[in-house]
Amino acid sequence: MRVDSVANADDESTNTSAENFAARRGQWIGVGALVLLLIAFAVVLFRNADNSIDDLQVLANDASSASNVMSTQQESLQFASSFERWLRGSTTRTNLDVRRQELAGKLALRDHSGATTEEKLSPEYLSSLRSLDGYIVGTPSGLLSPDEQDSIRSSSDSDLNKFIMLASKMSGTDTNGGIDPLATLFEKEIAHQKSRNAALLVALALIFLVAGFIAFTHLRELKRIRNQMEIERQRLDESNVALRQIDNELQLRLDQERVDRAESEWLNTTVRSISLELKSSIVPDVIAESLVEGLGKALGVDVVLFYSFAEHPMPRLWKQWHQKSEPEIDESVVTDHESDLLRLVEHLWNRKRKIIVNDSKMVNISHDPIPELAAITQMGARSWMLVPVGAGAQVIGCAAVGMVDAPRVWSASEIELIEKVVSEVADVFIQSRLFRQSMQIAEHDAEVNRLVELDKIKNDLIENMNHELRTPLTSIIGYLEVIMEDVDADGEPEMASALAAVQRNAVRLQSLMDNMMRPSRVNFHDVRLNVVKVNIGHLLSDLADSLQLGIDESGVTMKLRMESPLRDLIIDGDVLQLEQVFVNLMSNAIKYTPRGGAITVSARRVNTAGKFVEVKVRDNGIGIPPEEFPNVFQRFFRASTATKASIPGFGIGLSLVNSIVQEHHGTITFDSTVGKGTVFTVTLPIQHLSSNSVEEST
Amino acid sequence: MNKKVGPKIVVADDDRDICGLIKMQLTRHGFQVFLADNGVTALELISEHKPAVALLDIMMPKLSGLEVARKIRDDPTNSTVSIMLISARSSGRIEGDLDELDIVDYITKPFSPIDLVERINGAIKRGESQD
Repeated sequence: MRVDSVANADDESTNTSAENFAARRGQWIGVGALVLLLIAFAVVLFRNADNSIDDLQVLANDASSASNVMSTQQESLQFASSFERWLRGSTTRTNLDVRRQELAGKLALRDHSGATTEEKLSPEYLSSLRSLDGYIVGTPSGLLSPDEQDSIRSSSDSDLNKFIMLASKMSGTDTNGGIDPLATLFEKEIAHQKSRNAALLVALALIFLVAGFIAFTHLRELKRIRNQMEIERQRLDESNVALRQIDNELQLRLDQERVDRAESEWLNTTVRSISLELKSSIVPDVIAESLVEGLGKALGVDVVLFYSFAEHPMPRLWKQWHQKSEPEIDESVVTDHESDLLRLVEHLWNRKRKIIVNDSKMVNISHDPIPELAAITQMGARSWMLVPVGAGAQVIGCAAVGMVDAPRVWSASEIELIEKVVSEVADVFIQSRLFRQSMQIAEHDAEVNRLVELDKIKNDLIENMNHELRTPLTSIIGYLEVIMEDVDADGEPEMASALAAVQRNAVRLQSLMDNMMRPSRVNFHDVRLNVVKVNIGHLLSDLADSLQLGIDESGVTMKLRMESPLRDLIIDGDVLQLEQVFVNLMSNAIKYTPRGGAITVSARRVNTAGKFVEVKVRDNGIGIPPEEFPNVFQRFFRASTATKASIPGFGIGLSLVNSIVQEHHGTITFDSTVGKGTVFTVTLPIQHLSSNSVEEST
Repeated sequence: MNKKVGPKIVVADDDRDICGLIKMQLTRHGFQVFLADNGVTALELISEHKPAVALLDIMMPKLSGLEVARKIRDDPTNSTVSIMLISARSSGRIEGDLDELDIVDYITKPFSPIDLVERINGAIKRGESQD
């Protein structure tokens, strides 16, 4: 639009100029005609002047037939004619001087070399002079007197006067003393010539004045037109310049648009290509590798680094890519500042910013408060970009690209590329992680299901085995008991002892089976506590009595120490279960303490943070290695010291103890030193949490 | 005069030795013992003899102890029969059944024959006091 309007303005100005020019041409024609008219008038005037001169010439021709004197007269006339031309300006100054010299010479010749007085006074000489004089003035008069002649000869410097005097002399002395007709003639002629020339000058002046005025007015108009034309031309030039500028701008815009389009296409294609590579794997390591390589090749940089925060516990340089075969960067450079780097990248991510350095030499990195910036430049990059990688509020890491030696102005497309790619890689990482997590969950679920199934099979197996074992054991124990009722211990002591041994082992077998069954029952929530008031002091005492046989056989001693009054050792609990707890602990102490060892079982009331009864079973047996402490309460755990000592056991007892104590909302801890002994501490709450009405236990 | 006849006890267990043990012990303590090695026979014996106590093993062929107990309870003529269950398994899983079927005692194998006699006597006393 702008271009069109300028063009129209130019057209208008051109049209106006053309009209003006046509009008002016008519005026110029008029002016030219007027000037020609004036020139013609001037020519006529000159022509008239020439006519008067012609008259003189005629006069001279008439005298040519006269004598020598006459010829002198003719010369005089010729000089007069020359003078006339001089007056009219038709003779140059130089020529005039030459003629004047000639005239003077000839007159002098006539006057001083040859012409005698007699000759001058001769009737022919005088007659011709008179005739000439008379012819000229129309009235014959006398010649110059000798005094006048002398006066002329001696006095005048002026060209005109000299001429007049010489001419007068030539005309001879007028004896009657009258006026000099020739001089008069000349003077008249001169006056006439002067007036005519003045008229001519006036005419010419007028002509030039008019012409000048016309020219002036027209020149002014011309100047105005020229100025206008100049302005128009300037406007035209300006328009042209503007048009050229617009054209250039358009061209630049077109070029820029072409460049932008090319860059946009490059950007989209590159991002698509890298994106495809990124999405081709769910393995984080492969994704990171694709990222650094893709960015490196697309941007043509020297080095690409990828720092990870999410895929590893601490930030670290995860992947690096180098254009040339340069040594890889020491990862410790950044990991020294890992927390700072994490802080920086979180800062950048939260503010949607990035760091772009075109030339590190122009940036005073060393004074930057964030040391990792200096650390990154230590990687040798002179120009670099650092862009955070994240998704939502989560920062995954950061990517850095750099040129080692050269400064580089990072273009908008390049910045956009790296931003798009890291955004893409964040999505890919998140998806990859979600996918892996879902896979892990699925695998975990499958594993859990498998384990649950296995556990169920195992429990079923144990239960079935237990059932199958209990059935024959029932017959053994039952019949044994019936038989033992009939055996007279006093009459048949050996038989009684043998049956007692059988019964003891049968009961032990039953106990083992009970212990084995218990954890599987716990799994099925198959254990119900029969909570009653239990006096732990009495319980421990009874158990010690029942274990006395084993104590004696093992050659150890067992001391019971009640550190609180017995009335303070009553708790809510399942007496049979608690028996299991302390039987196991005391049996273990007996079993794992070498002959001659000492076992101490102590009980006391503890009133810190609630009311508890604390039981300690201490031995000075083989002990448990510290590295095995975490496994002590696991099922089937056997201390290496026990297996080395070939002490039999299933490794079920402590697991069982732990589960019963937990069911009573108590705790069990232990301390042990290999070769020095072990102490187990059971702490049971006085009041069972789930007991409403508790029976009294005997 | 006939010898005093003790309370009738129907014992059902598929293990012959256990049946023998129980019969020996109970007979020695004056009980009339009727043995069955499966649930169906046990039910027949119970219907026939109307024992004071039916001592039923849970895991039996043909009819389990619980099924027998349920049929006893379904028959009003057996209302006087006290039912005791005997099993190698704990009673945890069938707790609801125990209440529903009015099971007076649950004995876990292996058991003490002496303890068994005491518990049967206890069951009979409770049954008589209810009557």
